[in-house]
Amino acid sequence: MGRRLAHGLSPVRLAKRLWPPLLFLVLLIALWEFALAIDYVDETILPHPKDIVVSFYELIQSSFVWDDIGATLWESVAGFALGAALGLALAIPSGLSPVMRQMLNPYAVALQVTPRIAIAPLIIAWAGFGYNSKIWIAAIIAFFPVYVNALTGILTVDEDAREMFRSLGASRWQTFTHLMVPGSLPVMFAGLKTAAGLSLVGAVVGEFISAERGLGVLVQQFSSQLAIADAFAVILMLMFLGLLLYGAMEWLERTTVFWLHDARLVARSKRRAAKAQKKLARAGGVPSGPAPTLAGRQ
Amino acid sequence: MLAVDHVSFDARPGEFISIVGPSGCGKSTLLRLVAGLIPLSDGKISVNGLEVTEPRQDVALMFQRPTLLPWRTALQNALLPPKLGGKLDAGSEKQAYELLELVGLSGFEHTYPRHLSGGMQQRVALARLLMVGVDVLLLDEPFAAVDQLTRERLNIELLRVHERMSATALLVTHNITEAILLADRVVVMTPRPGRIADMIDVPFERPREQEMVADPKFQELVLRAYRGLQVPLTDAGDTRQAQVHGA
Amino acid sequence: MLSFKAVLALLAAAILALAVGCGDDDDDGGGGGGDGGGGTQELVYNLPTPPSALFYPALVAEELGFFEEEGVSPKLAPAAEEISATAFLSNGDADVSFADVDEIILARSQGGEHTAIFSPQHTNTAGIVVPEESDIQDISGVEGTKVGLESEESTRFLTAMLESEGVDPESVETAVVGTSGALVAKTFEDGEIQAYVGNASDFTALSANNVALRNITPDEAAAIDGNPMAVLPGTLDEKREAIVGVLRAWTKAQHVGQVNREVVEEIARKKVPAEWRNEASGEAALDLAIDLMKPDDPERIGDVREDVWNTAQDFLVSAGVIEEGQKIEITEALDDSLIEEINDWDRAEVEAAAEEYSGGS
Repeated sequence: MGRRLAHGLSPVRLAKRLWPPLLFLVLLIALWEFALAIDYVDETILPHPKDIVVSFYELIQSSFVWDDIGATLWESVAGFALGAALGLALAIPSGLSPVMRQMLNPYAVALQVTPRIAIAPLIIAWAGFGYNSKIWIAAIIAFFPVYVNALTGILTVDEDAREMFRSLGASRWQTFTHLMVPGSLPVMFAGLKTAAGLSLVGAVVGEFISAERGLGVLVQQFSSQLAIADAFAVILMLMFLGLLLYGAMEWLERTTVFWLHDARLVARSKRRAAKAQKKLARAGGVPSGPAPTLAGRQ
Repeated sequence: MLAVDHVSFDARPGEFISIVGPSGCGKSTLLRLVAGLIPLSDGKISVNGLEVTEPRQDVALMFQRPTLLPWRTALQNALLPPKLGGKLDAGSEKQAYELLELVGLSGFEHTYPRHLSGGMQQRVALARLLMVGVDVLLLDEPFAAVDQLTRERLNIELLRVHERMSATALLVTHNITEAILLADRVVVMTPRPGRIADMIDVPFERPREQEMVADPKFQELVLRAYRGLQVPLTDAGDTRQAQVHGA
Repeated sequence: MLSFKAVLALLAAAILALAVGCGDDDDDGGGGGGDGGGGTQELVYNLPTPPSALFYPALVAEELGFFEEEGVSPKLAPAAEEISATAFLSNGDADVSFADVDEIILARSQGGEHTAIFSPQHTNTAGIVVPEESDIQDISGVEGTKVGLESEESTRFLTAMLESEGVDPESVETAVVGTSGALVAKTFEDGEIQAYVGNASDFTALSANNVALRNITPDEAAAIDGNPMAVLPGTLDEKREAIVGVLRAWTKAQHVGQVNREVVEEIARKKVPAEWRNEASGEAALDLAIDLMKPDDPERIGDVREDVWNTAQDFLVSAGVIEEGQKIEITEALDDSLIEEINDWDRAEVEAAAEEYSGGS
């Protein structure tokens, strides 16, 4: 039924999936040009899409922009890793102990609602002017979604499964690693995906406040020169970067939380069955024989 | 608040006992007490001569919901008990295969719960249960979540398994017909607080068949059970000890 | 499902992440430098922008090896306008800081010991402009109109300028329009504002993009220094040698800009290519930078001039930012003892070095 691409998508199906968003994009651009044409918006504030694309192309070819892309990417990824690690580190004790939860939760919420711009100077004073301050700002923004989702995941573990574990005599550690952790992964990944995008925002905010290089710095430099098309091109780059980070998380989720995705499950089942067949073939034959006696009894 | 009051009986090794009664009569609580999941406030329960104080290896409880771990295959779920007990080896794997075959799931060993029907999931749960090598099987309305036809099929399989395992079984159910069909003895309970209203012996031959339900003698037993549900008897025995024997 | 190994791996990743967050990074900040490798002395300085042609001496001094010659390796700690430059000194995050005249006066009035030792820009970076075709010829014409502001802080500058020219500040309506050149141009065009108080670099960007402007900043205000360098007396004692070295290299580079624009342009294009995307803006910005850094007295580049600072303080009083009684002693705020040393080098030699550069690379 046609050639198959990744994930069993034929070109026909791929096209079918792409045309709605593409159509929307075309409509959007048409609207954009129209707004410019009737002077609803000035082109010094919102440049023509064509100009943005040209700027984008030119910038990509330049050598300097890649340093900035690298800087922002590094800040976002490192900030995300740090924020996520902290979120998990605080969510686990909070999830397991009501006392810890009462202790930590108010502060987590307080951190979330404090405008980051206000704490930024403190962070810079503490973390220094280099990458560290941007990484920490990104981390602070990424922290809360991971924390709150991991916490929810741990708290909403299946009670019946918990009882089942207990009835099997599982230790607390076993219940934690074999039930709570995998059970909370779906919710946790939702938090990770949110945090991935937010850490990029945090990195850029940090750059606005204090940085030598980065896409945030570029946007400011271009804006102040009134190179608006260039500024928008950088925003476009940021968007792609954000998509990249989000996509990476999506991919990670699909591999880790495989049990929510039918295609993955089927693939895994097949793999396991094949492996088992091989094992049995080596051992010589399918296990069969007399009805099982009670195990563990003399 | 007293959930169960003055409940006292002994179970013989290999016996199949059904406990039937309306909601709130404490039958689930009773099972959990025997399983060691809830502490006793008064009285004593012993299995194989040993008092029950906490979950133990020779007693296993099967829940209404199969509670399979969605990230493990049927085989891996069945292997959960030895895995948690640290005794996972080639022997237990072989046993898991055999048990899955016993409950009619050959070929589905590497399927994930998401792709298994409710009935199939319960069968995996049953296989998991049997991995533990128990003397006492506690079943808390295990097939309540599946449709009637599947349920009847699963009941017959349950009997088959029980036959082979020769373990003692306590099955809790709402369904009087099912209770009588499966059991050697039926305990009828009434609620608030839970008390024994009647104990009915079921003298039918094994293996049981669905057709037996039509038998007039069977229907008599059903009537008797119904009567028991209306009228609470005075306590059936002063000793407050319940003893459940394995083999 | 999660084996012990997996949990260990997660833990290791978390620890690594924390290490990244707290560990050293390549642009080390957070405190003054000590002795750099190979005997160069480190100094952390603070600018209100990332590396830019606006502060070309920093770029030129590095590129032409002036810092190296002096045996210093300065580290830039950029921080946006929102963050108080004087605070960086108080915190010890920077050794020296390019701050506002206002900031320094205010810090001192609150008991700080910040001292201005060097001032490269003898012209104000802030000012007020009107569109070229406007009827307004000088600041008195602003009476009764609406004035756009770069930020809320600009209010006091506006008030002070108006007071100094005898215009009633109450007669003027204000609105914060920000720094986006495009937006400012639009608000002018729509007639929503008749004048704009902002930064010289914004003005040049607008002019370079065909928004012709007339600068109506009163002379007194325009003469106030742009970004003097402040330091705490303790640091000055401790790192005097490094500070003098850095500033000497800076003044050399500043001088190069005054006599050899081409070299500076070449270096700027090389070091901050992003600022040259819009050619016209780039050229205009460089011209502005050189203009701003034109010293009153060519032999005393970076001189701190008492009279200008007194004007600045009077402005603050008239704007109601400080009370008469809170005024500080300007002579104590200024320290020109280093100026001579800093300017002690051969002009011809430096000009020759610049020539060589543009000839060679």
